[in-house]
Amino acid sequence: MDFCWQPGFHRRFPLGIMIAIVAILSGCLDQRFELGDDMPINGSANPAFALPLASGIWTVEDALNQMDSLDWEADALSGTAMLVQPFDLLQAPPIDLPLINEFLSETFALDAATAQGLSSLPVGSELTLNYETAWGWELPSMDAVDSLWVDEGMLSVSISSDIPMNQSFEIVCTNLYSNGEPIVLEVDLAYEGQLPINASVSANTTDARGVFGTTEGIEVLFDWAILMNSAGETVPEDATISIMVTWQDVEVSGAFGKFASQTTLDFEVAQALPLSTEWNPDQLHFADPRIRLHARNSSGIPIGVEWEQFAFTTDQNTWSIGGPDIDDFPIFAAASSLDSWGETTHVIDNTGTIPTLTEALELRPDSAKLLGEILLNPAGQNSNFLTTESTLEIEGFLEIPLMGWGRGLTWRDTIEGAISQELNAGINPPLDWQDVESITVRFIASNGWPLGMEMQARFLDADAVAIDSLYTSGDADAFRIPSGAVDWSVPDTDASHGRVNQPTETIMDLVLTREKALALLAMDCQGIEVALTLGTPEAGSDALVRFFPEDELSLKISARVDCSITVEP
Amino acid sequence: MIRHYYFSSSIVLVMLAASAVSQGQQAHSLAFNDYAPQHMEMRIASQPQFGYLSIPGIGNTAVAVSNSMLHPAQWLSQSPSGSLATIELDEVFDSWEAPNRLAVDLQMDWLQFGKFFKDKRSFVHGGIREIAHFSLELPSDLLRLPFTGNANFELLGDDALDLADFGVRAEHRRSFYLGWQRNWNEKWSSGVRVNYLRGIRHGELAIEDLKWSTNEVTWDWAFEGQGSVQSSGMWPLAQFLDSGKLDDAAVTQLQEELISGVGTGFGLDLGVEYRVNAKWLAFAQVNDLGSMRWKQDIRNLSTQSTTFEFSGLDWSAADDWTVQGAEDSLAGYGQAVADDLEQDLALDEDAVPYRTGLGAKWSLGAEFTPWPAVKWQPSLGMLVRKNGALPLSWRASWNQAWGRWMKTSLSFGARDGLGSSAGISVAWNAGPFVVTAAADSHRLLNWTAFDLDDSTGETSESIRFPTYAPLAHVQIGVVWRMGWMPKRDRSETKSECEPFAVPSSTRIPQF
Repeated sequence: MDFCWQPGFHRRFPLGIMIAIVAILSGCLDQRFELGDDMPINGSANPAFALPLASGIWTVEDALNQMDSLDWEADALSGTAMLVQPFDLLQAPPIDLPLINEFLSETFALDAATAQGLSSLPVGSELTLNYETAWGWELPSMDAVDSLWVDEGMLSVSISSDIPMNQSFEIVCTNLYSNGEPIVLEVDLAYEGQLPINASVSANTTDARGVFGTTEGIEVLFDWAILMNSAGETVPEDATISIMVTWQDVEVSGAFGKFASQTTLDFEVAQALPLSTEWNPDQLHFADPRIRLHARNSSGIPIGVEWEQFAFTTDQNTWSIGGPDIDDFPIFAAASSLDSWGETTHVIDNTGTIPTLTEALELRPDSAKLLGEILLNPAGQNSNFLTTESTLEIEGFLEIPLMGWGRGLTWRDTIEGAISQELNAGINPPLDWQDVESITVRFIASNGWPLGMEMQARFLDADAVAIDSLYTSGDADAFRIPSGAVDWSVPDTDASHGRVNQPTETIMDLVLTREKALALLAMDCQGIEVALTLGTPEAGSDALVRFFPEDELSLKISARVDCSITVEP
Repeated sequence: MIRHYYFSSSIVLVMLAASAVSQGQQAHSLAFNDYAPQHMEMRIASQPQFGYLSIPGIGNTAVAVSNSMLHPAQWLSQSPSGSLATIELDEVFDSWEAPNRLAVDLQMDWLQFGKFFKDKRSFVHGGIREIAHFSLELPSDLLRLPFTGNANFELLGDDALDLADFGVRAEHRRSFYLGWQRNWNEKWSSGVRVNYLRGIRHGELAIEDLKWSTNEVTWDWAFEGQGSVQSSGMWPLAQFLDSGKLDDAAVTQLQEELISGVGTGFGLDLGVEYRVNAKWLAFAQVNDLGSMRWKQDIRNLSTQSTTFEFSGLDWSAADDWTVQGAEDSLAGYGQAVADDLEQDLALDEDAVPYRTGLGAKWSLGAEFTPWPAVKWQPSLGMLVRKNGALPLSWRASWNQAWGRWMKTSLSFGARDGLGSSAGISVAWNAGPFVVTAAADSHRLLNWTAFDLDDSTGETSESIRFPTYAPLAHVQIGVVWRMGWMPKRDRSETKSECEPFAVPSSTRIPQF
């Protein structure tokens, strides 16, 4: 049956279908939900969010570089890191070079025969008289002078003659050289009927060299040649020639010979030791402190030290240090040649001091005092030299190798603030502590240092009184990062004795549970005191460890929040 | 009578428009409703009953919403005695197990026309169509992150969080199309349609193969993956989103781009039908073969496949070891991390024009007419369609012509992996008009009301949302029907050649 073609169907049916469809499409509500702020939750969600916070690798070298007030270096023998506090003992010439201001006065008297001979000379005839003289004096600081370098100075000769003749003098300083040639002075005396006849001459001795070879200090040799030119007059028998030789303002720039054994310079050094006042010897022990003195001597003179005082002091006390390292103090070597240096190093350590340096430092002095005198050429060596550029430099280093033990070294810091509010604000919104099961901070350490650490946190109230702590005393789960494994089987004379041979791997979780957090929220915590306690392994047995610059401590910190979204709103 | 039809049709259109949810491509329920010109989208080798001319703007409008992500009605329960609904966390968690997609498609024809030629041996159609698409895909692990976190190792095991398949895509284009259908003989017919495309706007963010793993011991993060961003014509919109306003130049640019576009392309639709016998007919079709080349206002970013590891602040490199120093370093550290990330990703930015594919859609179908000689011609249809990377769609349809005035299709099938649903299409010859309405999801019939209570417990606002409608597709259209005066019946077999009826002066010409 073609039911589609019933009368009126084609009008009403399509429209009816359409309306029905539209009515249906316009919305058929099959359920309704009421939504509000306190909607309950069925089921649970336990998301956990973790993220890495920070990581780092620190060597002992990095840690020491962070301390601006301390210098450090690696011990050349053992490689152990050591703290170094330098100080200057002395920097000066070992002795001052002499200043020469000498004069010589001589009178040459003619004998009767010479006078007669001169008187008989025809007018205009000449006669030369030759003489040799030596002019010497001592230099107090030198037993023997081989040569001198002269810087500046004036050599002058003044002559007064009673001889009625024209005279020419040539004076040759046979052992005084200028530009490689003996210094020659020439002076003429012209007779004009008046006596005495006077004249003088000078020579600049700048950059002159004097070569001596006596053991009697300085001796300048002169060769005199006097040319007489007769004026036809009679020369009296008592005629004289008076000579005045002066050598003035002569600055010696170099002296070569033998310097006398003598004390020359005093030195006094008071070196502050701020570190030693800060450590507690019951907590910190350095096994091998030492003082290294390093001398550089550019003179050719061996130099010794006569100690008056070698001590550690406080305002009230003085502890003198003796022992072979002090008493048998070495002689500082001389330079072997000009423009070179003699270097001498002397180490004062526990093996040569009484009391030992360790014992002295554990008395917590605030400074080291060194008084003494420089002793020139103590062994009487012959071939010395000294120039204006010669210097003696003595510098000292207080070296404290990081070898020893430490226990109970505690660093504290307090974080102040409204901790309880911060604890809540840290996660709310979007969570509250009902949604958070725990917060974990994970420390992953690879400890290659011979130093372990423990941490405790105490929660403080507004009066800074501890109201709770993160761990109870002796808690097995307390925060602890053990030190690296140290092998003490190596002999203690070996540089590796006390060294970490295996880093210790540790994973330490710091967990703040919901219960603890809620307790803190209720406490009105106003501060957290963090105490970090450090110690070397087996410090209770005074076991020694060594810190090497390359020892590494790696630490990684990550955080995780474990949530537990449950039924309760 | 005609006036009555017009009034009824208008009411229907208004009510449908009022109840329409949104968007769409082509309703599959229209595939076997040859009274509706829109059925040619699915059956390009088929002929409609009439030539037509659309009324601008309402000739064919389709809206489709795909939502496999947000179904709040599934997450709640409320007992009859309860004052408030209860959030069922397990339901929320389970609902995000599958890939999650939110997509909106809008299609509107400004102009449509179709005309028979050669005694109905061929049919030419064309039009101007506006197409807009927006889709958001979120990976399951991302949505479930508030439930699992990144460190619930009991739940995650050794698996990393898989954040691949994250994508955002937006596209607006205009199609100028012209199609030709031809009945070659009693058995074969074919159709072809050429689309000239003008791209108005395009933006796409694609993340490929992104994994986020957390080390079980150290809690370090590692990311592995790559991604890309392509955009054309998006800059004025980005400027608007950033500043909340547009300057005159941007407004001018938007207006110009709306007309002239920022890209061009071509698309091709091909189809073939084979009538096996009087009862059976089979067809195959491919739509949107082609591509679009985006040429103007280009912003492209792409990364290399990279692995990035995050292990926290590198404290040992800091100058200051104090906590304060670390805090002061965070800004610089964050910048350093961003710089490292940018370097590792090897971000490559350029303004090079690029090409996008239209996404070919393949269709296979068959229609069975058990009683071909019966006037009211019921038939059964079966359509299988593959749309790009989306899951296979299928639809079975019972098609019924109600005389010459109306044809309906009741269908059932699954579409794009969004679950099964029933659908309907109605094409009604209302005098000179053909009114078409189709909807591919019966789940739009089920709604849930969410009453928001204020602090006093009184309902301050009520929101209505489909209870569970992964797909909502509504398509409506009104066209002017050529030859809308009654004509002789359509024959069951394809006519190779029909006699030419010389119109008399008293008869209205037939086109």
